[in-house]
Amino acid sequence: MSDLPRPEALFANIDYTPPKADWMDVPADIKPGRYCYAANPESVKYVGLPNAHKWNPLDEDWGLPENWQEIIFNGLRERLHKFRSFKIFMDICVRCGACADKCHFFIGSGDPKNMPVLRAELLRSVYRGEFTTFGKILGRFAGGRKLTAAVLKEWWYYFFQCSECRRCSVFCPYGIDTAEVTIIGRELLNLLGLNIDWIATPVANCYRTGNHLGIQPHAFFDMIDFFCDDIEDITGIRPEPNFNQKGADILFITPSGDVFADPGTYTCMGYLMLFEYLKREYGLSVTWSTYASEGGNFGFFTSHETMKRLNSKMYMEADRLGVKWILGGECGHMWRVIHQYMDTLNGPDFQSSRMETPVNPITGTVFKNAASTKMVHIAEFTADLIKHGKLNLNKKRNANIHLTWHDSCNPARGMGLLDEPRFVAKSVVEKFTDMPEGTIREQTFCCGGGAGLNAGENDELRMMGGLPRANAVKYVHEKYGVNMLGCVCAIDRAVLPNSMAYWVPEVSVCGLHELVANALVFPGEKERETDLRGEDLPGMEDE
Amino acid sequence: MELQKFLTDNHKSICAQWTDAIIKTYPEEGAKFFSGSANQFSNPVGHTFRSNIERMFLALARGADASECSTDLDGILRIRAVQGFAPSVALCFLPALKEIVYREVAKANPGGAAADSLHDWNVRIDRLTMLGFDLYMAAREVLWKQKANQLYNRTHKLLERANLLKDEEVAG
Ligand code: SF4
Ligand code: SF4
Repeated sequence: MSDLPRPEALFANIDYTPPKADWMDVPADIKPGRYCYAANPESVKYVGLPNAHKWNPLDEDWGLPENWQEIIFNGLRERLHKFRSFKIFMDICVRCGACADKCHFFIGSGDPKNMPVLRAELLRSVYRGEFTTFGKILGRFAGGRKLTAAVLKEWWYYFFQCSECRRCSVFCPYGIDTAEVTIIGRELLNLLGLNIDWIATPVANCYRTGNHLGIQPHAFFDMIDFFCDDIEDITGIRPEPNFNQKGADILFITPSGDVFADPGTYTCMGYLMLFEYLKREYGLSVTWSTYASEGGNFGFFTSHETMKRLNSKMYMEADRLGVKWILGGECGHMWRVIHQYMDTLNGPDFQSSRMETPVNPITGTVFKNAASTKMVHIAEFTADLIKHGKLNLNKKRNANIHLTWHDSCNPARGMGLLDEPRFVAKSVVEKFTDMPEGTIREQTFCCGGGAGLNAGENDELRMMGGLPRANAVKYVHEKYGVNMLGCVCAIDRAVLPNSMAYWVPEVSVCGLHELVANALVFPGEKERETDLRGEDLPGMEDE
Repeated sequence: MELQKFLTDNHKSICAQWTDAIIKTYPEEGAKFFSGSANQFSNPVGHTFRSNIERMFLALARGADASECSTDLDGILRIRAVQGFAPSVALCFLPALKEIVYREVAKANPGGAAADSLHDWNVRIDRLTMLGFDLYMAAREVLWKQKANQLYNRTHKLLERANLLKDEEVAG
């Protein structure tokens, strides 16, 4: 036998086992691929947020103001007072661990600080150590610690590895919502100018021009016109959408991702076709707005105040145009803000008195659930139309598709929109198979890129976080032949294609109204040869 | 000793050690979670490691070429490639299989000439390791491409509309 060292001996002096230590003693190791770039100070300045400065997460010195601890303490004190939920979440966790293995980022990474209980503990430990008598005296023995620069970096690293999806809260016996802790954590970091650019710049753009990409009204109009060209080519029908039309019954607002990024663009074409159909058949009066040209609200990932400011433009525009109610497109956090926060943020007098409890003018259905927000989700609207037999649909056009449904966190867990999208989907496709229990509906897994984390530079983080979702898709793909993943969220439509390309390349991603429009039959339309993506319809393949 | 039979007979213990060689590269709580629940959906990482390891091992034990392990190895390495490991750490479990098997064989044949009978086996593991490098790099390449295309995908319709794209880019 040779004297060469054995393979294990070769590796013997390299220890791959990470050191065992209490989490408080393991400082955050900030790794490229897991974080998003620091905010551009110009964007921070634009919306008047404090301490705009240039900094780099990999640098030792983050350029913090001298009194940064004082700023955080004051901010924390103010929020403990203002948000009762936050104060309760700081006090009542019994560390039972029920939430620990429910976060997709922990499930995909095995990094303990991605366990929801520990993520919240990052902030809670400082609250204990600096704000409670018990913690001040007993320190670590009472789970308390001091706020140091290393702790602040750890906050930043891990609060921007939480997509605020609320999956963990479903499992907590006390209803503790770690997303709320993340939200406050990010708000505190914003007091020091420590946002990420993927959030800060869309927020500034949205504040300036009305949408995340900073697209100006004429370009927004142009894009929609471009879709109308495509629709005309495919169906022979040219939609004539209204823009900024005063006196319209309904204002339609969707995330700008639908207007500018594939595959959301096909969903956008779907809205245009649906509205055109309803106008021709039933005289529906809907207008788009080039001012309220963004449903998404990245302010939600920044601070309550920023969220409020970005949300307000939708209602200001509704007031300016004098519409009765707002129809909202397939968006995620737009709905979370509307459903969970808006009424408290704005108070009762914010909306125009001309707005009414939404009524579907075609079916007469009163959307009582939207009595206070005056805003209806398009999946509910379309489900109502289908239920009343108002749409002529031909499922065969979608015969090439075997669909499964991704419950987007915000509409599903945040507002309970579980059955309407499925009802619509099953009305327009022939083959539909749900993913297994525990991965859908209230327990749905996040796409991995929510809450402003869908940047390019953190692809590894998104793939890790997207693994539980993709893994369930892979299962229905392999077992049943599913080839399409549907969803009602623009972030999903931006994040899931990459996740699928990486984990299950045979599956594509679409929005709900893309499928609706493919199935929708206009009176007198020409025979379609392709779907909205320009792909041959079943039976129309070249010989 | 007939190696093939020995490996098949002992596959449970060897696979457990081989899986452990991956799992122990994670922090304690993560390792505990990955080696815990067998549920395919609540613990996809642990489940993939365990089932793919077992399939790969049984294939190798029956004398299959490393290339037959490609799909299963890819499943594991796709996970490792996004978890922030240095490549040597991401792949360290592959050469570890040589040592695990050597130890088991030596235990069963004290003083025997175990090493010689392992020659073929070790060559196969080397091949598997090489294949691992290719798959790992391919996974990383997908990530790099996605990073590069992120902005392009976001604005591509807009650029196309403004005639700022070359034809082949529009088509692609
Ligand atoms: S809210 Fe979602 S991302 Fe955040 S800790 Fe809970 S499960 Fe994880
Ligand atoms: S489930 Fe609730 S109480 Fe239990 S550790 Fe998690 S947050 Fe704390």
